[in-house]
Amino acid sequence: MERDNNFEQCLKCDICSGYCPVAKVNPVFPGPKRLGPDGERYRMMDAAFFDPAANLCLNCKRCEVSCPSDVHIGDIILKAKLKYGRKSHVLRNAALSYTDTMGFLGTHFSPMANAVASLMFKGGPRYASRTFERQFIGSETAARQSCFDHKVSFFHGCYVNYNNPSLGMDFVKVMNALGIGVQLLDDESCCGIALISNGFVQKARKNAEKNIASVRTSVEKGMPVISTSTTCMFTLRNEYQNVLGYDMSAFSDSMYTATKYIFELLDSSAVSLHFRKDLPKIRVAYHMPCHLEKLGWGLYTVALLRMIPGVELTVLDSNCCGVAGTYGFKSENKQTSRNVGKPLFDQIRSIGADLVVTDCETCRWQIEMNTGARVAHPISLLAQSIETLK
Amino acid sequence: MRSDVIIIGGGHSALCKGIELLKAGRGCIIFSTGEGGHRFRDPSYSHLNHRKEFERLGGVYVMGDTVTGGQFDGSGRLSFIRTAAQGKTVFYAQEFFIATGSFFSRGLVALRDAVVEPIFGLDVDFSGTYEEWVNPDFYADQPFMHFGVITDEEGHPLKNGVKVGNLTAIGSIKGDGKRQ
Repeated sequence: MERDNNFEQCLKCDICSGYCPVAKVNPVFPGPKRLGPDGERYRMMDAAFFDPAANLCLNCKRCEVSCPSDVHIGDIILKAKLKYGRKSHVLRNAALSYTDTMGFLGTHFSPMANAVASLMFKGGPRYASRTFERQFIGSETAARQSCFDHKVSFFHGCYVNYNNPSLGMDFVKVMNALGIGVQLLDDESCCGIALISNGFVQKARKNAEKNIASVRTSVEKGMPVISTSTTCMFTLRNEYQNVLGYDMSAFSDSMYTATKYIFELLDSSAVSLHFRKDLPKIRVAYHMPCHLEKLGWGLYTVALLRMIPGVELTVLDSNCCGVAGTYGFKSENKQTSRNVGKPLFDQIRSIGADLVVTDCETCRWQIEMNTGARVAHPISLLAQSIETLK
Repeated sequence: MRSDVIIIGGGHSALCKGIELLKAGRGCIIFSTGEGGHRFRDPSYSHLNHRKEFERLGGVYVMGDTVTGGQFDGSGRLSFIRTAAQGKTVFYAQEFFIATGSFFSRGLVALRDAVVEPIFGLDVDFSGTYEEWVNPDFYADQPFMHFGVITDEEGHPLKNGVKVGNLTAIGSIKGDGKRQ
């Protein structure tokens, strides 16, 4: 039996199906219990028992979060999809999954790419004209980083690099304010979550091996690896281990999401953040992304947001936004995706906050596209709230 | 990380206690392995309402994270706990509650020769051999249903016979004292 495939622990309580956002809105979807631990029993006997309805799974991992028996339901479904599933819409899925190639093209032809994107989606992804790497490497900011005794490696991910370089700059600003220098990894590739969920396993492995080598070098130098993207961090820490089968145990304590690292630094040492004195009162609604909830680290973002003076925080009910990376951008899933996110969108509209905060880039696009609300990353909000370093 | 109170387990007893504590002005974090408070597919409304109320009052409900152990100081007090998802980050609190339930939610685990409390190894009230725990008459009163952690009058459990002063057992993890 494959490592970590603990479907025998399932008690058949079906709590996961009650908690699954897709099962709630799509009566055709068999639910995580039947696709995961139940289906596995049959698939081990004959691959023909593979149910293509597995393609409707969001891979949000909410089933795993809700499971009282700690069965890796989402991983079982994803692995079955990779092992037995047939590929369809190959060209479109490749365009969605090869985020680094598309990002490279998108940033080089950004006016054209953005014109196309704005015709396709209201809100949603846009490309920057210069990548984060090009803005950061060789800049004055980068030169200043060597002045700091303690340094961390920043896994910027495709979103910061191609879509939102200013978030990367915000991260550098906050870290510098805490007395920590920021470096990039020796060689960073896309974390590959989109490749994994769309079945491009070979390419995902290539990316994973490159990233693991860079993470190893960084950790050996004593620099923890930090990402502003919760899904990138989730992929590096959990999916590489549980789905692709790499042993990440040596690094898992040296990889953080930005908010966890910052909170722990503030909590355990003498450093503190100097907030601006002139901060206006602002009503903030916080949406916890599913992958952050799976990591179990949402409490750090909540605690950090509560530290910012003037912020009146509402933590939104735990719901999936429905986009799940590339899922919601596929025409066949569009309606499901909207239905899944509806309770979240309704709550955001009814609260009428000044700003919605979420750690995940695709959640951000989904909320922007469906509610028109202003959405920001917690690190950006933090960067705007602190005194600039002289 | 620090909190006034940490509750281990996220079912009915945990949420009721959490709400009571928050109303008394104390900060509270709940760690729950899964969605607590129900046995089958749909959660009970009372659970959902309690959880909403708990979070509205400022409580933190961490779902999908299992507490794996803790550190006891010299005087037998619990100083911090570790969890599966938080890695080397530990959680300090002045006071802890354990509300991990009975066998179904693995608050108690039956081995071949003993019934144990798996997180801290608290003392469990059980007796006899495996065969004596179960009554072959399915509808009869089952001895194992009365097993639970041993506590003093205030609900503080014992570990190796020593009272853990800042830990309180609540809910069905406690023995009901009716064991024959």
